[in-house]
Amino acid sequence: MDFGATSVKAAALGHDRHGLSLLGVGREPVPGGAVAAGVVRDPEQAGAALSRLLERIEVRGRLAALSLGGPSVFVRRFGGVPLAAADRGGGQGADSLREAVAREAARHLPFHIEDMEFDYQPASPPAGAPPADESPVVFAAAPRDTVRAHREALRAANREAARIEIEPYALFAALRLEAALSGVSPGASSGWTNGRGSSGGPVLLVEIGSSRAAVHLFERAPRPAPAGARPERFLEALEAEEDPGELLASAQVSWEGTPGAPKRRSGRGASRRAADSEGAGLGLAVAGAIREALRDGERKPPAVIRLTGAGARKDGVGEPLAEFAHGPPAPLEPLALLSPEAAGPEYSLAAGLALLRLLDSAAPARRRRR
Amino acid sequence: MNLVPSDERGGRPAARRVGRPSRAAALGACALLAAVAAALAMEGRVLAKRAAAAEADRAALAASLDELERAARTLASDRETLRALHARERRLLRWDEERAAPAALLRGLARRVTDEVVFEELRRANGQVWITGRVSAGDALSAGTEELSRAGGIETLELLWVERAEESAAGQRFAVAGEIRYETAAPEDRPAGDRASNERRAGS
Repeated sequence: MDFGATSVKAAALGHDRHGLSLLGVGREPVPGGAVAAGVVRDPEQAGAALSRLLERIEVRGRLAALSLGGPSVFVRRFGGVPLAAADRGGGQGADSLREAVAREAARHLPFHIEDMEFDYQPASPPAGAPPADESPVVFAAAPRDTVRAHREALRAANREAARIEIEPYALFAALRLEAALSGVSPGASSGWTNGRGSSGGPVLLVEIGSSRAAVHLFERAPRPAPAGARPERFLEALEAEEDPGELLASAQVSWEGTPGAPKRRSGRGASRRAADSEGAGLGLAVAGAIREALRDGERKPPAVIRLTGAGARKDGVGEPLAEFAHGPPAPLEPLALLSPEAAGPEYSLAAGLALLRLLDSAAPARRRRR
Repeated sequence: MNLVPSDERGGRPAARRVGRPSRAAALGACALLAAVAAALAMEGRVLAKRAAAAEADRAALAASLDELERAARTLASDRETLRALHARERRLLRWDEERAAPAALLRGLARRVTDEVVFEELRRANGQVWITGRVSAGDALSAGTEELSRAGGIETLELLWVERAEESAAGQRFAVAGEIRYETAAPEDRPAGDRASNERRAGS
């Protein structure tokens, strides 16, 4: 499920011996103000919209995955966490590890960590760095009230949140889905071999919603599935890969202050011509965020840029971004490889979440079989 | 990464898995159950016996209570009968005394009667005896009364008065007159009919 400012999107994936299948996908308008800046403000209305959508697309699963994004979510990569030392801390390694991360995060967080729900992802140390006890982690936290509001919205639709993923990893999962499908789907256009991407450089995932935008920089693209992979082994291949993505930086696009944003249509100065179209104004703002992300992640262009979200369809969005990429940025549409009707970058977040949920639910069964 | 608190993931708490009990544990549980069932059965039998005994005791107690009530009623009735018999006995005794008292009085007096003693009239009514006679009868009357009092044959015997006339009075019919009062029992125990009949009998 992907709660947006104007609509809620949902996608459901299934997997059987014939391979991956799309069980349902769709979107339903959300009343104005129910969701704003990535945060559910009115769980009842948002849940009612989700309930209508799930009924329409006939998706009956109870457990769901959600994503959280926007300025209220704190995502930071930092080092100095004594992961190895904490790992050796007897039988309570996970707890002591979490405490160590929380202690380190408290130094970076501008909020009280007690008021936040947080999680972390161990990250790879920079290439060439000497082996050390301290490792970098990607830390994410969101206000407890925000997490609760999203879960209440799901409950209003008689669903439960099994996973609340932060937006960058959900988008990277969509990228993984596309990469995997490009290997197994006979009709899939291989976005990784025809110039859209290359597995060598960093990847920029640009989410452009109707009220906000964000840029997420990853170390590298997911590996595409090997050619000729059997459909029934699809999930196992993905799970074996265990590649949630090496997030380097995230940057929010300041939407309200952007020339070309819905409330400020007048462009000024050198960007006047580009700002004549709304998409170009957005593109300029996104370009600023990309620079910020590249600076934070200590990477340099060129990079692979994939556009997601409904805003990716706007004309002219990609033009200001061409300077950072090998070519014009392409929209990310993983579900298009499963069903042409499900094409659209607005579903990429929901598609990534559906894949994560599928992996979560399938993993215990496979572990038992082993 | 997952921002759902770890203890709330998956919606509902996972059911606790319980391993299958071993064969020995199952046998032990069966044996324990059998022992408990046997103990319960024995206890049940004891309780049933106690209940039956208690029921019998209760019936016996109820019968005893009925018998006691009957006995109490019989006792009350017998007491009433006894009281009536005592009353009758007292009445009969009184009757005997009443009948005997004047006779005893008269016998006592008669023993004093000599040739010189002349009783003119001896009349009995309402527990009193009215006597008149010649002068010599006065001594006989006093001595007889005193003797009767000492003998205790009559409960109360009192010589109320004796008047002596002058011996020399010519033509005097009575030389002495006296009255003796006697009592034998409480007047209220005496039935009116009986007293009247007694008096009639005595008068005759």
